[in-house]
Amino acid sequence: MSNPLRDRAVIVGVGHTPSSRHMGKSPMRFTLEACTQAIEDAGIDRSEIDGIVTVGTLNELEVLQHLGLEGVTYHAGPLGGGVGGGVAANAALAVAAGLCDVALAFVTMEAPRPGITYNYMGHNGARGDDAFTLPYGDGVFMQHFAPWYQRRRQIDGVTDEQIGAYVVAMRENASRNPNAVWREPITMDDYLGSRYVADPLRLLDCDMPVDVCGAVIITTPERAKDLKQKPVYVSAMTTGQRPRPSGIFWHDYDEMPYKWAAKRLWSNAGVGPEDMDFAMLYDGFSPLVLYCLQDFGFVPKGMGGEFLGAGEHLATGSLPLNPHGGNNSEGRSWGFGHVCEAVLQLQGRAGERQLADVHTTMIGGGGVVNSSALVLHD
Amino acid sequence: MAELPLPVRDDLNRAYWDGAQAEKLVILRCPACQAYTHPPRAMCTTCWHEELVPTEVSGRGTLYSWSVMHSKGNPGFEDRLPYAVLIVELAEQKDLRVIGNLVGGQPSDLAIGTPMQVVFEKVNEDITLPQWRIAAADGGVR
Repeated sequence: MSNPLRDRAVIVGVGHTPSSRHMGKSPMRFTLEACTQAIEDAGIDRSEIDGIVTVGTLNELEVLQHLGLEGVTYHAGPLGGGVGGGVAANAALAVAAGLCDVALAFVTMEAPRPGITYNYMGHNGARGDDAFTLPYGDGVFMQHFAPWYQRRRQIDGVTDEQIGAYVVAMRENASRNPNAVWREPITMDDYLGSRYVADPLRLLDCDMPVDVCGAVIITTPERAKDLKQKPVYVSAMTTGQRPRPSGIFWHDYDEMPYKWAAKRLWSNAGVGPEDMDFAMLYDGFSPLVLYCLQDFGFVPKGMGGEFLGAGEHLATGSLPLNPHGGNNSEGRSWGFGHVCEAVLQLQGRAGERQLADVHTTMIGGGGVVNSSALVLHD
Repeated sequence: MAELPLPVRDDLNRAYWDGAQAEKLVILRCPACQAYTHPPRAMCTTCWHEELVPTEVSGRGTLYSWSVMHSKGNPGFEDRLPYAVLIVELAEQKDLRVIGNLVGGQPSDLAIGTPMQVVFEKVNEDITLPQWRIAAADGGVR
């Protein structure tokens, strides 16, 4: 069955602030910088924007006011309840379905400030399901993924060196990304010497929380014809879910809901995982890429570690991953950096990290219990 | 030091915490289809039967996975680092799992499938927490 939404939305502009531990300005100010950058990059007048999609702590209605957008016909959060890919996916879905013509999609993240510990999930006390986790000291988000990674190690035999090969490569990629927070290369020994935060997760497996905003402009192929940039087509956007509310009480640690985002992704896009020139996989914790690789069909189940150990994720490998350094080394954007980088790579605008001869990619993943995916081509 | 967050009883979890206070592991079970569910749910998620029955279970299980926390962030645990958090699959049903800490062993003793036995840790007059020991091959606790 052909997909009526296929190639009916295009990404035409990108804005991205540096990822910074302390931007030294308010989140609204740096959000507006990224949004106006994306609008100018597209070469479109702000008065044409009639859709806004975002996720995060910022009140997007204030963004509407600041940008002087008089009214929009589409206002929503991410497809799949999760991360940056879902924000772009929902904006593309709205444009493709005719709910708006020009959508602004952006994600703003803030570095922790004194008194803000948003990784702790127990601020409402030990109520509901949290009554069964907080009294055991199990209320920090990374603890809801660490035991999943444990199973990949115990069952699949994933090693420190395999995940280390991923992290070292991300740092190397980030050294060519002026927006990245971590630009100094590291060695395997640096990774292996990194302290445990929630064993088996190490500090260097975790993305650095930063101040950052990424933004893109999405419109129709028709409107894109006289805009500044080469359009990047969205050929499919999906999400998927399973019936459990939390990572820790998930019924099956051996598959993520990514598997259900993948279910219609390839048939809707009319291509398969083997057609991807590179992939933008969610890596808020680096071992999440193991699930992206297997659940989106790039490797057989359980083979993600061997893929990384063989260097297939490098620019020289069979499927380069996250040439911008991923969230792991660019900084925590909930995966919106992946969106910006996918577009820049397909437009040939990725500077010294530009991959040669790339025409199609996918963005996939999410924060353990949410998921989304897109397929893009030039 | 921040206080340990203790369970707040409600109509869904009261049987679990009252049971733990009596040193019993009590899980909601559907009288129609016999499925257990945990954490407690308002109805049977298998057959939608609405009156689940608190049922004492064996207190035996196997280790599904675990992690060892090395970082601060959980109130009440600042002085306990590092500590293991276990996900134990109960013997009664596949996918029926509870969270707990390891009592009386080392994380290096753990593996997926390790037999586990519940033990009870009295925190105060109102709350006793089910916790887990590695079970010995003879069914006892070591």
